[in-house]
Amino acid sequence: MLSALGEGASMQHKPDIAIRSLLGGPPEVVPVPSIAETKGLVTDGAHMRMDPRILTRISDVVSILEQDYTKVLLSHISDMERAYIDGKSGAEDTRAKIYEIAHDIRGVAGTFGRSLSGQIATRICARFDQTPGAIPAIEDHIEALNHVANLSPEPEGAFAELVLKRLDEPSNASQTSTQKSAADEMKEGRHHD
Amino acid sequence: MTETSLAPLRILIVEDSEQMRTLLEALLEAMSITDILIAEDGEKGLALYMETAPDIVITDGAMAPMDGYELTNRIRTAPDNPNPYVPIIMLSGHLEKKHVEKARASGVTEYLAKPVSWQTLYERLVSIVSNPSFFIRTPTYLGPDRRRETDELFQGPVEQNIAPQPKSTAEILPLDAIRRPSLIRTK
Repeated sequence: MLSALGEGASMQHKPDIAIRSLLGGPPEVVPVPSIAETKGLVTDGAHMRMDPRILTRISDVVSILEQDYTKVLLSHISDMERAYIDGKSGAEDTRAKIYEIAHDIRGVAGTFGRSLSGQIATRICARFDQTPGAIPAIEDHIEALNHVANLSPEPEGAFAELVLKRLDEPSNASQTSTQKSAADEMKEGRHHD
Repeated sequence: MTETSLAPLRILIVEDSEQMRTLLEALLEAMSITDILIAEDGEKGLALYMETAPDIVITDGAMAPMDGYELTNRIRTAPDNPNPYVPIIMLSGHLEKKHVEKARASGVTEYLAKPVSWQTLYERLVSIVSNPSFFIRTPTYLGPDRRRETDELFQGPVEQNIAPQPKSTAEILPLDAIRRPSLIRTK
């Protein structure tokens, strides 16, 4: 009895352990040696660090890929625009296609120094997430992407924020021809530069 | 300190985006890694993993027919897997809490937000390769130990149930250098 009470008291003090025990015993902690050890990449217990020569090499590779990516990005935007027009005409599967392209731009563009393109694509994905089963209005997003992708380097800072803010406005989806679009803002912004 | 040569590594990339696959392959090659395996979805990735036993897996999150979360879970729990502790880096454009928690529950080692900076990827690879880690095994979870501080509830050899520490690991690094991965990194 005392033993039982003692165990109960112990469980109250250590409820986490008690729950874990009920689930099948305490967790096993497994130490895993480093890959450097197991593959013999270091000797005498030396610790590894980043190699500056590799950092330079990666930077060079990314610079080359950035140039190629601009062409890919423009091609993606063109495909998206085409799919969007087809979707408006009632073509099937265009929703998934547009989302896939936007998702791809969202994931990759920033790595190639095209942060604003990536953020516009993120907003396109968000619009699709908010309207399941339908194709939301993204004319302005596509137009803005088209302008941004043709600029090198892409706009940053306050100007980029302004573009994104315009795209985020609720009225953007039901914009009339008299209202300024984000793309219009961009054209004017570049004109004043 | 020794500058890292990652050249002997075998890395599996599981990614459905062609652009991302090209980018990752080029980045790894720039790191002198040439043994790179590529799969377009989780299902093909799992088959390739079981066949080739890579040292590190880099996977996307959202894919079909099998996503990166299930891939991670299957790698961690497959009974015939020779290395359920393989480091798994998940790259994902989904930063919502539910996705991060899902990744955590499936047992990923690192969750990097897309767009991934190449410096971050290199830094994480070097860290994963050079630091030993701890895994937690329970009836419902196998994955990295994410506790940042010592948990009083786990004190003592019986409750902690720690296997003997590999001598070389203890000698190489002080305790505070042992990798305790945070789940999400954005830069």
